[in-house]
Amino acid sequence: MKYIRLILGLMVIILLISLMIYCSQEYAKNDPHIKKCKVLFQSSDYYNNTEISFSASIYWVNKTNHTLRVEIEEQPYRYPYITINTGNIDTQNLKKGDLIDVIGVLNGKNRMTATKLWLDEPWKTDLIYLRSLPAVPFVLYLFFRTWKFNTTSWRFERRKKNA
Amino acid sequence: MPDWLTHSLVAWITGKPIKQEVSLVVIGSLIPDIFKLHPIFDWFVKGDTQNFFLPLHTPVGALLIACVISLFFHDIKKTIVLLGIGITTHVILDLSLVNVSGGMLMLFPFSWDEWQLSLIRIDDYMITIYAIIAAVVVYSIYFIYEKKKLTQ
Repeated sequence: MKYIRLILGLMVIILLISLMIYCSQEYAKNDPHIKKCKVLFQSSDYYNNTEISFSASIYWVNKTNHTLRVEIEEQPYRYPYITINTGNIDTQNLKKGDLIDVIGVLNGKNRMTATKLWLDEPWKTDLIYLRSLPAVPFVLYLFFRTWKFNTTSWRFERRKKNA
Repeated sequence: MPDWLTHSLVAWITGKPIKQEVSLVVIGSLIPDIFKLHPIFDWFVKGDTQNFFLPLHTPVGALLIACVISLFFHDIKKTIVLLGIGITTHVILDLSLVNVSGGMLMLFPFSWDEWQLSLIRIDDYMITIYAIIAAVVVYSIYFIYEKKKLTQ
């Protein structure tokens, strides 16, 4: 009985590590997004008018014809360059090298019409991490205000004033 | 991924009625994002460990982590439930995101299907502002309620 928690813990950790190994081995083969992209671009005529979404970097922008040529960012996989008809979507602030997220429909070999398009701005991504920082002291304060670790029993115990 | 502040505030609002155990709900809400620490391991092993750590960002993987954490508490069942509530708030928030490269592996390891509700952009900071406002409102309500209880 003394070691039941230790045995349980080891069993759960072994199960978790098994899942992690399974995922690292199989995810690339089974990722539904990559599978879908591969199928759609290989047989784009067959899948005309099918919705597709991906992240891409802009290779060139033609503002007069409302078209973009992009390279899909799904490393380490390589896809052909895709020409996107942006229609009424505002592309004035887009330039070569920008990262974008696109949702649209296929309409021919390596061609699609965008229905939604967002510019990935690096500062917005950095801001996610910056916004996460205040959570660290908040969570630590909240937790250690209520609990303390007993090094003898190896358990967290409720602090007396919260008992 | 909404930021950790949004996740912890939403969990705090959810767990506030449980009072003292709110800290475990908040801890639970951050468990799936242990996955986000994979760049540290990338640096150590000089490779990409993202797919290795991905199961931690699934309901099953996060619950297994909750099981391990609960072994360090006297009441294992109660701890798993509270951490589970936190994990649920995290999963619901992450499900609501727009992710053009697929959503959450909700049924991993039984299915590789990815799920998302496509409601909020990943980098939308308004959700953090809404969470802060909601937390301030909830805190004020509890503060006034506790004060009234003391004066009676």
